[in-house]
Amino acid sequence: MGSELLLLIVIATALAFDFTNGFHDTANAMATSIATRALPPRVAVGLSAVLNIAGAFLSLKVATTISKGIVNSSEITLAVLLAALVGALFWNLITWYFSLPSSSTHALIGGIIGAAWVAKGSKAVQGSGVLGKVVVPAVVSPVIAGLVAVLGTFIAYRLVQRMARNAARDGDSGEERARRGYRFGQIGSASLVSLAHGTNDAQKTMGVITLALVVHGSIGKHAGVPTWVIITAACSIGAGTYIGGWRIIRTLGHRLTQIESPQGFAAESSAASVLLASSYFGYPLSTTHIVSGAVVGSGAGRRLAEVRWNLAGQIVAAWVVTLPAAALAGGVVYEAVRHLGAAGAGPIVVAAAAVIAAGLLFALAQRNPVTMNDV
Amino acid sequence: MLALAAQVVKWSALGEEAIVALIGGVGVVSAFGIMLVGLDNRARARRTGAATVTANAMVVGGALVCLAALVVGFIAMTHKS
Repeated sequence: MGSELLLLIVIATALAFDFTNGFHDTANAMATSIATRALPPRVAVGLSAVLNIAGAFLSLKVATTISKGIVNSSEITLAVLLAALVGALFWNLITWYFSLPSSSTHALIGGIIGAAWVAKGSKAVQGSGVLGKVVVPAVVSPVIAGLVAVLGTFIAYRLVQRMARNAARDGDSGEERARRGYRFGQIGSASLVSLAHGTNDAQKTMGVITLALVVHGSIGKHAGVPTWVIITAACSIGAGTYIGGWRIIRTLGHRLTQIESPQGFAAESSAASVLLASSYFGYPLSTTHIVSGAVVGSGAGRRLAEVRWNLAGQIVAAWVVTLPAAALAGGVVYEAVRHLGAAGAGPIVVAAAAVIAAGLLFALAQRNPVTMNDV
Repeated sequence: MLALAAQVVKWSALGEEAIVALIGGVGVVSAFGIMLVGLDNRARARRTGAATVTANAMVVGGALVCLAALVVGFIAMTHKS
């Protein structure tokens, strides 16, 4: 089998991963807006899709750094990339099935680590990079977002109470006007998170495809991201976003805590601030971790709001397991590709098995479907 | 592990990020809330014929801070480190 076919399979798998990244992460931007009825569900995912596509064109900084400082770039081959993508895809679909918001970025990094480790041994992985760029930010980012959201929610409700008091003196209901205002604000803050998501996550797939093209020799080492890569990656994440990951939207919007519009606005504004600050200062944070932390913070910041800490614990457990699970899957897939022949039937068999497994999982999910009517 | 983390993590950048996020997040929520209170006060003042100067200042000030935050956010998105 020619390396061209292997390259094609890697690109197709990367776009499939990008698609799952889209529907997995729709909840990050839109779950709170859908929960408070700031936007109808279909309009919310449509808006998010358009902004994700726009975001993908805004900056190409992340595209060149997906594996930098985490694995030695000289150890990356097309087979490693294929195994990494299949491992990440597998974890994205498993967590989607269980309605858990986990990080697609960490799944991809985990897949790359596992595949590179099995391919070239532990020397291929830069432990300090994994700790400094992945593990520590993963712990710190939801805490920062949560604290900002607690404070933001507290202030938002103080202002709502003030409007309610003023209105009560005049014998009308100012509280409803305040909530309507915050619902309007939510559209802006959620849009900003969608745009920021596009600038981060679509570019990770662009990075992987560009890396595959470099490894294959189709483009030079210092070449920029080809235009067709930008367009296909943007469209793929946009399409995934528009499909709407209703299972995860329900978890973040309804099951973790009951969200009202002032909380939704505080959560999304806090998440946008942390996300944009991290982009600016060069910290590779996960949108999922930040938004989940902010939603929990907005629940804790409102008196009488109940945060379902059991579910929060399950989500954190999924975060902890994401990196090793995707690494394990990436490693196993790489071994299968190597065993069957990286230049032979290996990639075709693995790609076919991934398609069948994804199809089975979708079929299984249909037994207990979650649609836009459930969010 | 902690010793290694202390060496490889850019704590100063992380601290800066936390402060910027705190100011940005809390600032935007406060400014938007002040704008809403200002809009409410202005509507009430118009009904009663009272002065609307303070309410207008709250609306304009809050809106400007939110707009500035949007612009800064857009710049941060397009100028990543």
